[in-house]
Amino acid sequence: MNDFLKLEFWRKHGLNFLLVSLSLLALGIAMLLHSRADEALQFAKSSYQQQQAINAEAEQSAALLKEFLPVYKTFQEQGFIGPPQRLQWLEALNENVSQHRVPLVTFSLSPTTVGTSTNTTYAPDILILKVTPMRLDFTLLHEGDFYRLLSMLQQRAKGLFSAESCEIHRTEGASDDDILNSSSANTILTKRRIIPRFKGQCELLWYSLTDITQAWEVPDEQ
Amino acid sequence: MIRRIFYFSGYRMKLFEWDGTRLLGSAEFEPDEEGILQFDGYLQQAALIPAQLLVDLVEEDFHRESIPHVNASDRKAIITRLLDRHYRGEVHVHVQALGRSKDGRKDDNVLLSALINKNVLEPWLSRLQHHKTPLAGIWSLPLLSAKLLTAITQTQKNVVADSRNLASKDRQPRDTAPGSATPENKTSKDIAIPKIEAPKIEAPKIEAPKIEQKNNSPQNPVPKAVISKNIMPKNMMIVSQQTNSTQRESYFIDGALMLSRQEKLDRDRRDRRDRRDRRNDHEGEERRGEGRGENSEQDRRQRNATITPDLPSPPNEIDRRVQSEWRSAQGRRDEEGAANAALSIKKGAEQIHIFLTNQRIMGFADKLYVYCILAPDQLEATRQRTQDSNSIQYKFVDLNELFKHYKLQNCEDQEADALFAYLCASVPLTPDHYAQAKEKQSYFQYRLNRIITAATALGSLVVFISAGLLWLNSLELVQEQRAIETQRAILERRYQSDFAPIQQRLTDAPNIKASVDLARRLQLEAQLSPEYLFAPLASVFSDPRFASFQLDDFSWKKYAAAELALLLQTQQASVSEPLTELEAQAAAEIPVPEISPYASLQPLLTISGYLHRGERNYPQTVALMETFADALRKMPKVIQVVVLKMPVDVRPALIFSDGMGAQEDAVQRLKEANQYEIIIGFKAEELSHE
Repeated sequence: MNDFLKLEFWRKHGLNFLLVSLSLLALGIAMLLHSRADEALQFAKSSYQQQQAINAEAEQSAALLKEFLPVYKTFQEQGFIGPPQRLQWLEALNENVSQHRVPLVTFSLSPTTVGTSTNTTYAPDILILKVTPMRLDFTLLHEGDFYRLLSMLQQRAKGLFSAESCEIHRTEGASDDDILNSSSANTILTKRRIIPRFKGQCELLWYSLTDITQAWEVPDEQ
Repeated sequence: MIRRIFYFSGYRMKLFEWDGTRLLGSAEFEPDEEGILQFDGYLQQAALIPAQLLVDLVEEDFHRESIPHVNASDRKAIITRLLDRHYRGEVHVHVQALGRSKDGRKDDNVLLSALINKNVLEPWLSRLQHHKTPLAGIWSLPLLSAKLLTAITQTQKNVVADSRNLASKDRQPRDTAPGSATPENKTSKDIAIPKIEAPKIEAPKIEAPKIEQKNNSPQNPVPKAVISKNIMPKNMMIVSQQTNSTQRESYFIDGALMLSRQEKLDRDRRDRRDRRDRRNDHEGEERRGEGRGENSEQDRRQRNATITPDLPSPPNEIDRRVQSEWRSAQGRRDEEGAANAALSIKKGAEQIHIFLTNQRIMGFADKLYVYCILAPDQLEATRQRTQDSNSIQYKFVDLNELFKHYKLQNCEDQEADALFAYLCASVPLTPDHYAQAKEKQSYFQYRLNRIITAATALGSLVVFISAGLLWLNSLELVQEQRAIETQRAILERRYQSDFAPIQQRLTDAPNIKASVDLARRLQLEAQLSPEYLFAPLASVFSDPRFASFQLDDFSWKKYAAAELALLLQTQQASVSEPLTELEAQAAAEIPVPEISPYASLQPLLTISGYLHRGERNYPQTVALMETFADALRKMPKVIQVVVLKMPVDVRPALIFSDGMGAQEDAVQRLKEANQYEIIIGFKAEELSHE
């Protein structure tokens, strides 16, 4: 049996085994080619999907820009987005005081700091919000002047502020009867002197967001 | 699939090659030097296909045994002991199961058989092994003859019909049938009943066949109804002559082989006569063939295709006188053969019947049906020379009818050995009857080579196909890859043209959105400013019902939501009736509403002033104060109003003191007694999270 396997067996089946070997070799080459082709295909698919994701993300970002950039620019023009315009705020306050003949307004503008959880509840994670506290002490002839003072400041000042706290007290000796006796809605005429009927103070917080578009190399066309 | 059958009758070797039911060719090899050389030459040049050896030997012995019905291992041991007892030292043995007995212990019936003289086969087997002929096995003719029973009973109808016709027709000489020996050539000393042992089991219950026992002569044929129902008699014996020198007699009970023997008919003389007759037949055939002219060309081709040993060439001239003499001699030989056949059949049947009855295998009243398979030229003459007895009934089966039954082709000149060769060719190659493993080694190697060749060819084909499919698939993958790369390039170009110039803006787009969101939230927060409460607050104070209220202090402050809730709760508790322990516990269990992380600060407004009571009594003052508080509650975005201080404060938790009576005017009334202080909590401005 061993001789059979050694000699006659190989003589009879040598061609068969050669055929099998050739077929296996062909199969191996085919598998190698297939493996490489499959690998290349997977890489191409991955690249394609990656490019699809990049394009989709770009389209999504473009859509975001299209929707929010005009609003952003509006806030930019209103002074909320951009550097704190401290001087302009004071100018606007002075203009209000002069226009409405407010007897006395004193102010204190604190340093501008970056908003954190300790000084504001609106501290963002990725944006830089700057907070500028302002204290106003004032005397008023009429309580309506307080309304006008704040509303006009919001309209004219380039920025956005929040009135954190305000107090108005009627001054000693003044009463509603004085209003009735006065010839003007804004003044009390006693011995030809203007006597303020109210005094108070307000704590304001001015908010300013850092302008992202300043870093853009190509200026925005819009 | 071509089957190669070596048929060995104990003297010469005959070869048949079958392709289904078509006989491709046949050849004979004499046991002399010339025949052996021809046999060697054939084996050396023959195509390598499996061969089967069919033996029809006088040296084949049968024993029927009954063994207990036991498990396989015990059964094997019992059979081994039986074979050792009957055929010790014999290598060609066979065991055939015959089913279980119906009575008693219901033992298993087995038929043991063996070729008891291996020297007869040895010269031929050694040649086969020398030439590495793939011998698939050795089959026994008697054991295969059981397959004929159904065919024989089915062809009986045709036999009867042929018998009628033969009586009125001229008999035609059988062209290639070998001559028969004369009756005087058959010696009784050559007819010997093989050694047959009586079975150890109880003799089977033998019943008389249900068919009517009548002579099957043309004048008294077997009833058609009986034949058409194909009822197989209980006791059957098949008699056939595969060669002119032997006669095979096989006895069956209920279709199962019980015993078989080969009766020798002066083998040496008959074999010599066979050769001479065959040569004469061949010469006569050639002469007749030339007489037939062109029509004999096909027969000649058929003969040339047949593997035949060298024979003398036929004479070239047609001699009418010789032809007439040949026909005359042929007629004499047929008559002579029929007489010999009838004599040997009758003698053999009677001997078998005597043996069976003596051994109580058959009852004395049972009838033995003897089916004689004969060539058509001997059929009628033999039938006329054979008379039925009370215990034996003869039936004659035309060999050609059997050929037709099996749809065998090219068998016109063949003897019964061709029929048995076909039966052997139609059985599966495994298992065989007698061959040992070492005798089939070449066949095993052949099968192994075939399997290896087929497996390697099939495997190579599959692998090549797989490789091809993989290669095609690789091409598809490459095409798909190229298509995807093209798509990716299109996307990339679009990105480069549309989005690359504004890459920085696109990157900052989420921050732009976040800035806008934050700005909007702060804008809403800024809108919740004290000046916006002036209008609703002024509308309350300008109400004529509340003209006596004077506003002195106005305070505004924003708190975090939780802080404001706690402050309002504390202030409300300070002016409310003290809670019992149970109420305090229940109040503590009230969950604090969850505050949205996007909730802005909530403002708290505190107003205080003086109420000019005038002539209002206590209830009127309290009612006015309550009406004033309700009016404040109706202001927009108010969530809670807590009256901390009021002119006539009779709430249970507080102290209230005043004077009354005739001298009420003498009571010093303080201005502080008519002061009020109210805190108002407002809702936060909430933005939905975008």
